[in-house]
Amino acid sequence: MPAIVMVLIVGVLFYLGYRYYSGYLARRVYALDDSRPTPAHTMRDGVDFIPTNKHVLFGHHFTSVAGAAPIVGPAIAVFWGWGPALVWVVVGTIFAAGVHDFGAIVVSVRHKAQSIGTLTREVINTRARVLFLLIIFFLLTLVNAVFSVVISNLFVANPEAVLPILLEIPFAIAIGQYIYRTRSAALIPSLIGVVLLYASILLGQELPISLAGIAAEDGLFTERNIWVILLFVYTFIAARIPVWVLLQPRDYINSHQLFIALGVIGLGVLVGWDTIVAPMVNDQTPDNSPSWFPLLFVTIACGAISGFHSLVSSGTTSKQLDKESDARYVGYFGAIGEGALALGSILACTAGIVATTADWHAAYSDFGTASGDATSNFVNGVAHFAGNLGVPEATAVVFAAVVVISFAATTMDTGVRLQRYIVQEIAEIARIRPVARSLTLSGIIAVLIPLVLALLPGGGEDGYTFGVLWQLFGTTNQLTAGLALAVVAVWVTKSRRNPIAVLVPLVFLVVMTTWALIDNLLTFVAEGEWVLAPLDAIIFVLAVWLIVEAALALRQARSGSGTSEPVEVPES
Amino acid sequence: MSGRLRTRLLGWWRRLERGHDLLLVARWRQGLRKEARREDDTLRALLLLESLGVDNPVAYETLDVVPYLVADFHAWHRRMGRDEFGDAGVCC
Amino acid sequence: MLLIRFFGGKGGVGKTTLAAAFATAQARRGVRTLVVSTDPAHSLGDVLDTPLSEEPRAVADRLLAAEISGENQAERRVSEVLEDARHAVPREVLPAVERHLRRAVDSPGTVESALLDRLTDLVERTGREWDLLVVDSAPTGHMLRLLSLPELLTPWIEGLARNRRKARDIDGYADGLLGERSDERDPLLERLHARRRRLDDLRERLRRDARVHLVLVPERLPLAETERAADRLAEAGLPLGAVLVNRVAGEDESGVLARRRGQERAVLARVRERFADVVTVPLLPGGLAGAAELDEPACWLADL
Repeated sequence: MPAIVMVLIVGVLFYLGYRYYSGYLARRVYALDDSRPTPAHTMRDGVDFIPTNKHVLFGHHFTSVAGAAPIVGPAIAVFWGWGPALVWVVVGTIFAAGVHDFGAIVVSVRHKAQSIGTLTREVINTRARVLFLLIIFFLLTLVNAVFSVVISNLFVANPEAVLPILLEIPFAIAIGQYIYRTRSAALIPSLIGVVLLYASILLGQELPISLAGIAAEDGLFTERNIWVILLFVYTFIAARIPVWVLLQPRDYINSHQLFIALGVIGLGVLVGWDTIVAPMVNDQTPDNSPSWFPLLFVTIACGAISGFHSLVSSGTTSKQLDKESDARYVGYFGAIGEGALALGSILACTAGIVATTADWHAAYSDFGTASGDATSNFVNGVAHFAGNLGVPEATAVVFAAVVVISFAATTMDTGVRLQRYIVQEIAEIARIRPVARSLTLSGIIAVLIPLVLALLPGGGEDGYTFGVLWQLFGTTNQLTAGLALAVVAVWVTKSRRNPIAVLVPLVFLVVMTTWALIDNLLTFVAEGEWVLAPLDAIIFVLAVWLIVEAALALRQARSGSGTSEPVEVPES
Repeated sequence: MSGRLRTRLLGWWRRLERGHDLLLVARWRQGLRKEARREDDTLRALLLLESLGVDNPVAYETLDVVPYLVADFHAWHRRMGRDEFGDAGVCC
Repeated sequence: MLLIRFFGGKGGVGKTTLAAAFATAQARRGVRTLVVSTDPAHSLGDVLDTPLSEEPRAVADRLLAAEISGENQAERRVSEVLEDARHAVPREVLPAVERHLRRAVDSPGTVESALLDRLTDLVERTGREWDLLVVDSAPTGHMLRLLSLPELLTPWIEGLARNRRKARDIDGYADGLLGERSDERDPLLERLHARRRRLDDLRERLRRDARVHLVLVPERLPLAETERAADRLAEAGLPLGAVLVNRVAGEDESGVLARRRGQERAVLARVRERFADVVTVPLLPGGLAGAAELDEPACWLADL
C-alpha cells in the first residue's frame, strides 16, 4: 500500500484515541480538576516551578522525550513484517503509552510534583524505591551500551558524518554566546547555526573521518569497537563538565533538528508517494529466527510505551503544568508524538529503503542482519524521503545519520551523568562508602559496565548481540514503565476510582516482559553466554519483584489500608 | 512591498521569533537558571543565617562583602521574576 | 628595631602609667612616639593629663597619644562600607544593606575585631608618622582574636570564592563570555583577599617588630594570670619583652608594708624563675599624672 495511506489510517486511529480514550482517562480514571491549583502555582519559584502555556509545555516535553529509541526499535521489529510492528505501535500508543505518560504527569502533580522515584516510596513503599533504583540502574546501563553501538555503527557506515558531529558543539556554544551577548531574539542565529551545521555536512562529505586505517579486521579493536571505546571515554569526561557547557547547547541544537527531521519525513512521504514494499507479515524468516511473540513487545518500547518518559513527566513537566486538564494534552498527545516517530521509522524501513519487495527481503534476511543494520536502514530510508524533496541522496544519508547520532549522543551524555548519581545512591544504600562519596569511582563504574556490554562479541554476528542487548534495554524500559504504571494504578485505586485502564497495560507489559526474559534466559544459557545470562537473570528477578510489589500494593490499596498515607482524600 | 503587507509579515516574523524563543530557547535558559541558582544558594544561606540570628564570627571582616551579597541576592530574586523579596527582612 | 610595644596586664596594675612613662621617655630621647590606649575608661588621658581622641594628637614634643575604641571603629566602618555601597550597588538595596550591616556589628567579637582593625591601621602607619608605637592594652584578648580570625576567615573566603567562581562562570556564560575569568575582577573576592592579607601582614609585623611587656604587681593572683598570658602569647608566636613588676615595696618599709615585702619576695623569686627578663619598678609616691610626673617611673624603664 502507499505509505501515505498508512499515515492516514494511523492518523485517524490516533485522533480517535486522543479524542475518546484520553477523554475517558481524564474524566473517569484521573479525574482531572481544573479548580485545583497545580504545584507550578502553589510552589512557584521561577526556576523549577513555572506555570507554562500548554503548547509550549508540550514542545518542551516532547523534545525531552524524543530520542533515538523510537527509531531503532521499529527499525529492527519490521523484520517480522510491518503488520505486527504497526499494530503494536498503534495499540501500545493509544492504550499503554498514552495512559502511562499522561498518568505519570497527573500522579506527580497530585503529589507536589515529586519525581517518580520519590513517588514509588510515597505511594507504594520504601522497598519499591530500591527496586526503582535498581531498575533504573540497569536501564541506564543498557541504554548507554546500545546507543554507543548505534552511534559507532553509524560512524563506521558514514564517515562523512563524523565531522559535522564534531562541529556541532562549537556551533551550539557560539549560538549561545551570540544570543546572550546581544540579548536579541535567538531565531536568526539559531537558524544560521543549523544551516551551518548542515553546510558542515557537505564539508563532511569532502572530509570523511574513518578509523579503518588503524583498526583491525576482527577481534577487540575493530573499527566499531574503537569508536565505542572513544565514545565512553568522551562521556566519562563530559559527565564532569557542567551541563550548561556541553549538554544543554547540544540539546538545544537537537531540538531544532527534531522539528526539521519530522518535517522532512512527513513532507518526504507525502511528496514521494512511496509504496510499502515490506510484507505485512514476514513469512520468509529463517527457521531459527526468534519469534515475534513476545520479543516484539520488548523490541519496540519507545513508540509503544517507554518508562523513560515517566522520568521526564514527573521530573520537569509536572512542575510546569498550568492546570490539570493540560496534562491530557501534554502527556497523551506527547505519547502520540512518539508513536508518530515510530511510525516514521516503520515507513523509512519498509517504504524508504528499497524499491522492491525482493530487495527488502534481502536487507532483512535474518534477525542478526535486521538488528545490526537497523539504524542504517532507518538512515537510508529517511535519506530517501529527503531525496523526494530534492536533496541529493548521498547528502541526505549523512543528514539522517547526523540526526540519529545527535539524539543518541545526548541520551548517552545524560545517561552516563544520571548513572553516576544512581550508582552513588545505590552505594549509599548498600553502605559502600568509597563509591558513594567519589564522583570518579562512581563515574568509572557508570562507564565500565556498559562499555563491557557494548564490546561483547556477537557469537559471530555483531548484529545479533546488538539485537539482544536492544531487547534487554527494551525489557528494562518496560519494567520502568511497569513500575510507573503500578504507582499510577495504586494511586487511582486509593482514590476509589476504577484502575482497569491502568491495570490492563500494566499486566500486559509485565507478562510479555517476563516471558521475553525467560525466553532469552533459556537461549543464553543454552548458548553459553556467560555475561548476558546473569544479566538477564538479574533483570528477571527485578521483574518478579515488581510483580510482587505491585500486587501487594494494589491489594492493600483496594482493601483500604496501606503502608503509606494517601496524600489526598479519596474522592467519590 | 505595500506598507500593510510589510507590517503583516513583520508581525508574523515577530510571532515566529517569540514562538521559537518559548518553544526552544526557554528550555536552555531555564537550565542555565537552575544551575546558577544552585550556586547562589550558598550566598543566600549565609545572608539568611545572619538575619535568622546566627552569629557570624567574622562579621566585622566581612562587612564590606555585605553590600555585594545583598546586591547579588537582589539581582537574583529580580531575575526570578520576584520584584520584591519581603521575607525575614532579608531584602527590599 | 622594636617598633611596637604592648603593655599588658590586669586592670589596676599600673600598665597605663608605665606605658605613658615609657612613651614619654622615648619621646624625650628623640623617638617619635605614639602611645595608644584601648581602655574605654580613658585612663591614658588622665595619666597624661590631656583629653585624648581617636585620632593621634600631639601631647608633647614628638609624643602623640590617642584613645581608640572598638565601637567607634565599628561605627566608622559601617559608614565607610555604606558610603562605598552607594556607588557600587543599586539604590533600592541600600536599606537592606544598612540593615544587614547594623545586624552584623552586633555580633560578638565585632568590637574586638574592630579594635584590631584600628590597631592594624596604627601599626601600618608606624615608621612613617611615628617611629614607635606603644600600646596600653590587654594584649591577650587582641592576640586571641588575631589568632582565631584567619582560621575563621579562610573557610569563609574559600567557600565564597568557589561559589563566586562557579556562579560567575555560569552568569558569564549566560552573558556571553565563556571560560577563564581570571582577568575579570571580582571586587567582592578582592576585598576578602585583601582583608586576609592585612591580617597576615599584621601577624608578620608583630612577630618581627613587637614586644609584649606584661605588667603585674607582686601578688599571687596577678602572677598566675601573667603566667597564663605569657603561655598564650608564646603559642601565638608573639615575642615577650621584659616582665614589669610594678609597685614593689622598698627595703626600708615598715609595718604593713614590711609584711608585704615578705610576700613580694616570694612572688618576685617565682617571677625571676619563670621569666628571663624582669624589671622592677618601685612603689612611687603621689598620684602620677602629667608628663613631668612620669619621669620617675620612666627612669626605671630606661633599659627596656
